[in-house]
Amino acid sequence: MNYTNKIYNVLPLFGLMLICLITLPTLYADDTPPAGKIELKLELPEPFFGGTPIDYYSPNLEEEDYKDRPPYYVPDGVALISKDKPVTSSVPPTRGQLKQITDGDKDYGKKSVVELPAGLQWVQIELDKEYTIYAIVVWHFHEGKRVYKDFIVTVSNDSEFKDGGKQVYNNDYDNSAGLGIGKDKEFIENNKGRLIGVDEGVKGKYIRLYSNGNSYNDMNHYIEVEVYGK
Amino acid sequence: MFKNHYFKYYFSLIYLLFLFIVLLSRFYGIAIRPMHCDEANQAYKTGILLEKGVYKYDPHEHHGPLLYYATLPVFYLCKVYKFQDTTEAMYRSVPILFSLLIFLSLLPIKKYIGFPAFLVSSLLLSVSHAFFFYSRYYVHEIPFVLFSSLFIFFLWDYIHYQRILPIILAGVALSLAFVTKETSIIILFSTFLSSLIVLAYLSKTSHYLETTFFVENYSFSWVKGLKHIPIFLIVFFIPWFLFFSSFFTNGEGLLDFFRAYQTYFFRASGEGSSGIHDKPWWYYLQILIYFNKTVGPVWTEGFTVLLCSIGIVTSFYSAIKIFRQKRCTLREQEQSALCIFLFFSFFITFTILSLIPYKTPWNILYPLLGMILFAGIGFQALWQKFSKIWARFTLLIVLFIGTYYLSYQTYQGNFIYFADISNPYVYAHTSTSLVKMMDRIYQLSDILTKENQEPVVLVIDPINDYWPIPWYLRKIQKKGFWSKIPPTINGVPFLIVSPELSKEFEKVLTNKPYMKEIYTIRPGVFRYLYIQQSLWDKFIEIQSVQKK
Repeated sequence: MNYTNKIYNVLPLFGLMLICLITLPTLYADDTPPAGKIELKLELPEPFFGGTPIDYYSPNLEEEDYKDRPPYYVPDGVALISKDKPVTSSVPPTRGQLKQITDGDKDYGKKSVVELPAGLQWVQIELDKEYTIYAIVVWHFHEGKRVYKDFIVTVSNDSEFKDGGKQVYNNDYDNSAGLGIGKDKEFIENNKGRLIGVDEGVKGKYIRLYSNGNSYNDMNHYIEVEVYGK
Repeated sequence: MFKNHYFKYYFSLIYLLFLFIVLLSRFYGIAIRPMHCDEANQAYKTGILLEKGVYKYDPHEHHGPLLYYATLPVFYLCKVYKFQDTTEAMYRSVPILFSLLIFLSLLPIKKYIGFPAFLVSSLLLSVSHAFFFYSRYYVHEIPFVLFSSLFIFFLWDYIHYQRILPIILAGVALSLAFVTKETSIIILFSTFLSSLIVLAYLSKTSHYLETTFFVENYSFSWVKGLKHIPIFLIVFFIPWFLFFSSFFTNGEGLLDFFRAYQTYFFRASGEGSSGIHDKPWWYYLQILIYFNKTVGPVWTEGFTVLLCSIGIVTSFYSAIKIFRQKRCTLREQEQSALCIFLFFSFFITFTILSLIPYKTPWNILYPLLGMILFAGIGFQALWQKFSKIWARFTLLIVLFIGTYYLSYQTYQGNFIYFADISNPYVYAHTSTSLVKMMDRIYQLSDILTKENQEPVVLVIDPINDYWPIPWYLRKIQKKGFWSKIPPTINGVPFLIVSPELSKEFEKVLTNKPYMKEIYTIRPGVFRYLYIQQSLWDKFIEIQSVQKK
């Protein structure tokens, strides 16, 4: 057996070892949630297929991610606490009714959209009592690709947010909303919604979500907001 | 007699109050909508006229001279003598004032169409989304509609009585319509046809008139008509000559008036760069009856269209009835003849505009005025048909609901969706995003000015697609417009670059730190704004401590 043949005999063995090296971590991947935690299970609406690619750029825009979202774990006992809870807004909506924001309908269809006029506007969800909030999931209008600007989420126990509230998300990179410069990313809407995780939990009864138009026009749209806590 | 006098007095008062409310509502929020490219372009030309006193008619673009000259008094009233000091409100107040005159233009035909029809038409005109929207739009359409409608109303008066004053006024109105917009030739053609039709109708029905000692049979004198033609031509010639010669300063403008038709016939055929404006024949019907795009509301002036259909049907029914009965009163003949005249004047134009591939939504205004008049006539017909109190009460309720809906839609279209493509009258409009870009430039320029530096803006686009940026940059002295990347950009704080050139541009930028943002100037048309990084950092420093 010459030298070349020896290499050829060993090569499959190396290949097998390489495959094992790549796949082993996934075989042994730990799907089990950390102690005292459960995976947050979300019901996702149908994705929208169609429209034109987004032609939007911002120094703060997150690269589009087509993969499934990795599991997000919340403490045991955390549940959806915002379903059918009352919603108020900075101005009356120009389309739809505010109650649609917590009605569980996440479809991208026009009938599911709540539209607020141009400029910096907010919607506010009032929970029945103070909760410790661990996750907020937001679906803006996701028929086609849009980026909602100055998206800021705050939580407070004061219905008027005189204390400013605790910001759990802020992608206003130039403080055009006047609520401080945010470090979070702008993102392209899709059926997965935006999951805002609050690992340590934040206490509050009111959740206020700001936006200041989108990459398509100046309007502000909401399909659904879900708040998870206990 | 006494009662009639008081009625006229109170009517005049209420009508003036109504016009005042119309005026106020149209001035409210006059500048919230960004300047459309056409508006900006025309404002720029008016600025040249203001600063240098120069205007030259362009046979290829921008339509006639009237709008520019008509804007000058506004500047003089505001004591503004520089383009950079002019504002959106100054320019847009001109079409608003012309739109008010459209209401007044209906007064001469009030006695022919009937008082209820006049009232309902005025009401529908005041709440029409299209009329409200374009009354605050610095383009030629509103004065064009005014002079075109005045032309046909005065012509009708002339056909009726063959008096000298209406033919003089008709001549002036037609001349001013041509001075405003070249498409007046379509109005002239359709009015010529409708005049022939109505003369034939009047001649035929004159045998059926039930004459009395007080009323003479109507007959149009062709000999008298021919004698009046020179008068018509002279009064037509005077404004035409003054405006197209730029008040004796540009004789070439008179020839350019004729040359322009080469351009406009070519454009109407859908050739050349104007191909992007080509639309199917039903486009105008679509925007009037049902228009729904993206998330926005459903837009319709269907209530007006429905009443208009009733008006047309009842008008033609009256005419047919006269032929069948072979007798009519003078009033019946007058009314039916006017309806025939108006119908053919407005709807031949509508048909021609629908058949021309080149379409822009503001062209609908003139036919829409006809529809509004027929809607008034339609409501009047229903009012006369149903005389019982409950029926008339129902009619009033229907009118109220329809008017309320149209008003609400007008409010939405002008104050909420004023620059949104879901609005049928927002056409290739400047995005509010561009205004934000300009706000950004001016905000940052303030920082430079405080440091005794002069802001410089370079706009780079390979196909010279700059409008309406020059309008928004009018307050910045140092600016440049380039079709390719300039050889040096050292020290330039602001660069507006089209995406086609951005990759090439970024190679030039190597080692020169710039912050990059994107803005939409029109739907689907983007521009990058490059801001010198050091300037951006100063801005963010200021912003980070600012709270609303």
